[in-house]
Amino acid sequence: MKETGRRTAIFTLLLALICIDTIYSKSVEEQDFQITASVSENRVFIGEQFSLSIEISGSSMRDVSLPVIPEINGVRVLSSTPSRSTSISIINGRTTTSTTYAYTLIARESGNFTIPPVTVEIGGEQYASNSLNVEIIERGQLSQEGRQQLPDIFLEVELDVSNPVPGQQIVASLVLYFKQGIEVSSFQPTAGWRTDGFWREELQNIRQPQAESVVLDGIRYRSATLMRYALFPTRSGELTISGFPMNVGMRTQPSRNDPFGSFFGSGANQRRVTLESEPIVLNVRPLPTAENALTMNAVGDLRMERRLSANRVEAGETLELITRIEGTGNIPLIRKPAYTLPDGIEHYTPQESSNIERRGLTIQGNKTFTELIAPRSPGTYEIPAERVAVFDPAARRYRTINLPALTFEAVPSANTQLASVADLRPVRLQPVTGLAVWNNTEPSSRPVFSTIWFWFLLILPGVAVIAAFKQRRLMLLLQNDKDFARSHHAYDRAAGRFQHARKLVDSGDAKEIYNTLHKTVIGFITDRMALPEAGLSDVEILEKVKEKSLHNDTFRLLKNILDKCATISYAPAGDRSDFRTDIIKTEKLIEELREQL
Amino acid sequence: MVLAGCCVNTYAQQSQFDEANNLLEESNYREAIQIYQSIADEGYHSGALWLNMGYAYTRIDSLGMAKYYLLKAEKYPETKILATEALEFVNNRFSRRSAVLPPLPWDRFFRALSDTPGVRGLVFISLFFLYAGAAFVIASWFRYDLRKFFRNSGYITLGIAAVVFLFAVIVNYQDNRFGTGVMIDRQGPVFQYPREESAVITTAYEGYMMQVDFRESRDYPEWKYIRLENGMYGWIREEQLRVF
Repeated sequence: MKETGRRTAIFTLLLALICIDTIYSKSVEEQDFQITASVSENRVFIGEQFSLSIEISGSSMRDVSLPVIPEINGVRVLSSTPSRSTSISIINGRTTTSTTYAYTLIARESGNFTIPPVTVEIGGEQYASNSLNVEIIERGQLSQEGRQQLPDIFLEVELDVSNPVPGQQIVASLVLYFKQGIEVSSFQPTAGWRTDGFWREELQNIRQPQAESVVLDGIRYRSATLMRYALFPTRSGELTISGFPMNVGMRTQPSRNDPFGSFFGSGANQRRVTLESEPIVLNVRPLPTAENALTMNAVGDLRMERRLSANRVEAGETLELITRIEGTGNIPLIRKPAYTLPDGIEHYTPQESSNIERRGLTIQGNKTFTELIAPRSPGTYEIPAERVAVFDPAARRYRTINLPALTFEAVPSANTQLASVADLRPVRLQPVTGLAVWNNTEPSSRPVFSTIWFWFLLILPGVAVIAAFKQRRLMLLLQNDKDFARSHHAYDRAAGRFQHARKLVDSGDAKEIYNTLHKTVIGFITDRMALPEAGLSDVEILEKVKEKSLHNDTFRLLKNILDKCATISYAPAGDRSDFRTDIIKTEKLIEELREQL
Repeated sequence: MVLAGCCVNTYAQQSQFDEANNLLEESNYREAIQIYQSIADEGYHSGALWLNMGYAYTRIDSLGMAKYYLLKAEKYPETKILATEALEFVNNRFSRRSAVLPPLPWDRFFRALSDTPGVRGLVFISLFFLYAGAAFVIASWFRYDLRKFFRNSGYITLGIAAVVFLFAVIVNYQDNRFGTGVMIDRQGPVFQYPREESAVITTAYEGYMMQVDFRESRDYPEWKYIRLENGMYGWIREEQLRVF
C-alpha cells in the first residue's frame, strides 16, 4: 500500500512537470515564430519564372500548416505544392528550426505588383509574413542594337563620385558582369592599370565576392564586385583612369545543339579570358581658396590637435611640437601645416609618421608631425594660435579647426651657452666693440654722372682739342698763304715801324720820320689788301682803299697823312711835339684801318 | 661751434653703440638691435654697426636679416674680413639653399666691374684715357716728326676711353635698374604675376639671394620683380625681402 502511494505521487509529479513544460513551451513558441517572405528576383520579365520563398523559423515546428498563397496580380503560381527544406541550428544551447517553402511563379503582365502577406497557421493561430514588391517588365522594350552592345561577360570600374576635388576620396569598384549560364571560377588582376594624377590604395573590404542579379539593357546579368580601390586626385583638371586589365577563368554551359558537349569534362566549357574595363575621364574641380586659415591639403572628416612635449626647457635644448591629425580622408597626402614660429627659435626638419587603415570603404587613420624646435635664448615663447582649413567634400566647403596658442619658457643654461659659443668659435662670429668709424652718408651714394666735376672734366679735353685745332689751322695758313701771312702780320710790322719812328723823334729828322710813317701806312694797307709791296703810287693806293668803302673820316685822315708825308720836304720843319702828334694820328689811322680793311 | 656740435653728435652715436654692445654681451639681443636701429635711423652708419646687427640677428635666429646686415658690413674695409667670415657661418646654417645657375660670361664681367672698380672708377679710367688721347692727338698736330706715332697712339687711347666709358654707362644702368635682395621671411611664394591669386612659380626661402628689377617693380609698390639665383623670375611681396 505504501509502495502504491509512492508510485502514484511520482507519476503525479511527472505529469505536473509535463503539463508545466507543455504550457511553458507553448507560450514560448507563440513568441518565437518568425515568418519571412522573399523572392528570387525583384525585377523579372514577362514569362520569366521566379520563386517565392516562405521561411518559418522557430524553436518548435509542431502543428504548422502549409502557407496559403493569396491571389497575386500579374503573377501566376505554377505549382500549388511547394518544395520544402528544413534546417536546424543550435546557438548558445538554443535550438532553432527553420522550414522554407518555395513556390514557383511566372510573370504574366507588366507593371509593379505587390505580393500580399502569406498566412500560415501554427498551433491553430494565423500568422502573416511581410508583403513584397515585384516589377515585371517586357523584353521587347529594348532595341536589338542595345542588346548586341553588351558582351556576355565584361568588366567595369564604377566610381562613387563623379565630380571630386583634389584630395577627395573616390571608391573605385571593380565590377564583373556576366550572363546567366556563365560561372566565374577565378580572377587575377594583371599589371597595367594606370591612375596618373591619383594616389591609390586598395581597400581590404571584400572577402568573397557575392554575385547579384541585375538587369542591363533588358538582359539579366549577374554582377560581382571583385575589388575596391580608394583613389585620391592629386591635382585638378581632366584626369584619366585607364582600363583595368584582368584575367578571368569562366565556365559556360554547353549548347544543347553541341552533341559532344556532354562527353568531355563535366559538361561545361572551361576557358580563360582577358578582360579590360573602359577608361574613365574624370573632371576634378579645383579646391576653393581658404581665407584666413592655413591649408595643408586636407580633405575629409578630420580632427586635429597640437601640443608641446614640454612647457619648460633650457635655452638651446629641443622640445617637440607635435601635430596629430586623425579621421577619415586623404591622410597620406596631408602636408605639414606651416606654423608661424616666433623669432629666436631654431627649427629642424620635421619627422612624420602615419597609420592608415584600409578596411571598409574609407581610408582612415592618423598622421603625426613632430617638429623639433629649440629656443636660442632664455625667455617666454608663444607659438601663436592658428586656424587650419580642412575641406569637407560632403558640404563642399572648408571647415576650420582652431588650434590654441602654445606657450613655453626657456630658462638660461650655462652648458648651452658654452656649447653655442663653441659652435661659433671656428668662424669668429663676434661683435665689434670699441670705437667705430662713423659716416653720415652711404659710400658712393651719389651717381657719378650727376656731378659737376664729371661734366667739367669731360668737356675740358674737348675744349683743348678745339683750341689746338684752331691754332694748327692758323699755322697752316701762315705757312701756305702768303697774303694771309702778310695780312696777319701787318699790324705787328706797323707796330715795329711806329717804334722806329718814335726813336727818330729825338733826332729831329723830320724827313726820315715821315718817310717811316709813310712806309708804315702804305705797308699796312698793301699787306692787309694783298697788294704789291712796291710800285703803287699814293693815288693808286687811295683808289684801292676807296673801293673798300672806308668811313669818310678815316679816308680823309689817310689822305691827309699821306699828303703830309709827301709834302714834308717842302714844308717848314716842325718841332718834336708835332712829330709825336702825327705818330699818334698815324697809329689811330692804323687802328681804324685794321677794323675796316 | 659747428665742429664741437659735430663731435658731440658723433660721441652720442658712439655711446649708444657702446650701450648696445653691452646689451649684446648680456644676451639681450632684441634691445641691442633696437639701439643699433635707432643709430642707423639717425643717419649714422659704420661697418661695425652693421656687423653687430648681423651678429645680433644671428643670435635670435633671424638669419635672413643677419645675412642682409653682414652683406652691408662687407662693403666697409674695416669690417670686410669679419663680415665675410660671419657670412660663411650664416650661410651654412640655412636649412635650404637655392640652386645657383652660373651667370653668363658678360653678366659675370659686368658684375665684376660693378664691384671693382665700380662706376666711379670706370669713369676715372675713361677720363684718364680721354685726356691721354687728346694729348696725343694735339701732339700729332704740332710735332711733325712724331706725327704718325702720336696720331696712332691718340686714336687707340681714345678708343680705349670710349670702350671704358661705355662699360661705365652699362654698369651704371645695371646698378640703377637692378638691386640685390635677401629673403628675410622663413619662406614665401614667388608668383607669376603681382597678384596673390596668380600661379605660384616657386618658393623662396630665408637667405635666398635674388636680383630685384626696380624698373619692372616701380608700378607695383608692394611687389618686387625678382630673379632668383636658379634663374627663375617672378613676383614676391616686398615685405619679405631686404633690398640693397
